Amino acid sequence: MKIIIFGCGRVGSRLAVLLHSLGHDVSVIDYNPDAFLKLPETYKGTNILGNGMDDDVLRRAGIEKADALIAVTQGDNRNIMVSEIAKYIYNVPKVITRVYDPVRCEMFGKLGLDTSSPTLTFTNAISEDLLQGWAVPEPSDPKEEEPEKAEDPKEEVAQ
Amino acid sequence: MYVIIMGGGQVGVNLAQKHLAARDEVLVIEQNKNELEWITRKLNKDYVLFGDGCEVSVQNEAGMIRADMFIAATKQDEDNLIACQIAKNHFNVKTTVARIHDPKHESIFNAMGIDIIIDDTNVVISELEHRIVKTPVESLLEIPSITSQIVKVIIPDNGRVVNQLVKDIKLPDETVIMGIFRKDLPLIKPDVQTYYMAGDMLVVCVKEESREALLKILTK
Repeated sequence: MKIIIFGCGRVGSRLAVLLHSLGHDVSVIDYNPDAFLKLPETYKGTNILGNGMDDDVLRRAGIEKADALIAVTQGDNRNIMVSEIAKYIYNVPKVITRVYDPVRCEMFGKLGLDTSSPTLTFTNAISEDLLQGWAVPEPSDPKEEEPEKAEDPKEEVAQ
Repeated sequence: MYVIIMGGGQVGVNLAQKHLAARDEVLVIEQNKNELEWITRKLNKDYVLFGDGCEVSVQNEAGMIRADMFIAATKQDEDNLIACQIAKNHFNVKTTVARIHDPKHESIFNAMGIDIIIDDTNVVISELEHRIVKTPVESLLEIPSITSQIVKVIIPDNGRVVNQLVKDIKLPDETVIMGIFRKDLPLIKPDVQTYYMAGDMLVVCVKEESREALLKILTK
């Protein structure tokens, strides 16, 4: 696949390395040249220095022939806008958008974007992990159950 | 009519004042504290709301649900687009207006159903084109503190630089070609492949003392 990654942060750079190692044609866009330092020397994908909302930059990254675009910059609005450009102007078949704000994530998901909110995922994962086994003590045999259940979450937190 | 304006500094405030004068109800949303202070001094504090207009909760607090018009006038195209989409799709605002700075963004604003799009760059360019009379070099703007000025230069029909690459013609130090207007083409930002052509109208930033040298190089 020809994949464009917008934003070479921790997620963007990791994705780039992973997808490139799986044999995909990867272009990463970032406006900060230092961002590309996160990529190892073994990575041989394309780095595009520039503002990903600039049409020329998107074309340089090959948006006209891209199979997928992943928007993972720090800006929710930037991610949404570039995803809309990819989806509605360039008809990129698969567009994935990171949106930190859960409200905007849901809203633009309903409007047709494939959005994902790390805030939501992470909050859910943590609370699930933390509260695992913290069921409200059952009235029948509270003495047996309680001490064991109290241990579990402490262990999880320490990890 | 209830008009909500997001950001926009001078533009936002002047717009608000115009609507107030027309007896419209107005609210300006601003997220920058410094700007906010300045806006509050210009308008009554009742007409100003502190917050990020791209947040649904802030739009809700602003009363977007009963707004007739929402104008997104910040300097960020992406913020203007997303705020307008929220106002339109979530709060059903009848008319959404967005200011854009990159002319190439007009298509996506259109595709997303923004009702009115004001292209800052083209407004300025067309105004410039409109007012510039065709003479070889004309000063458009003087910048006193750095003794540079912005001038307009027209490449003559039989000029030496015609059909030469822009990058091959050495210009005086600290001279920058900001753009080239060529017939009906959109503004050209010169790159390594750009040639000078007869009739080109250049907008150039040049040191005062280099102006004559520039004129010699480009128009002889």
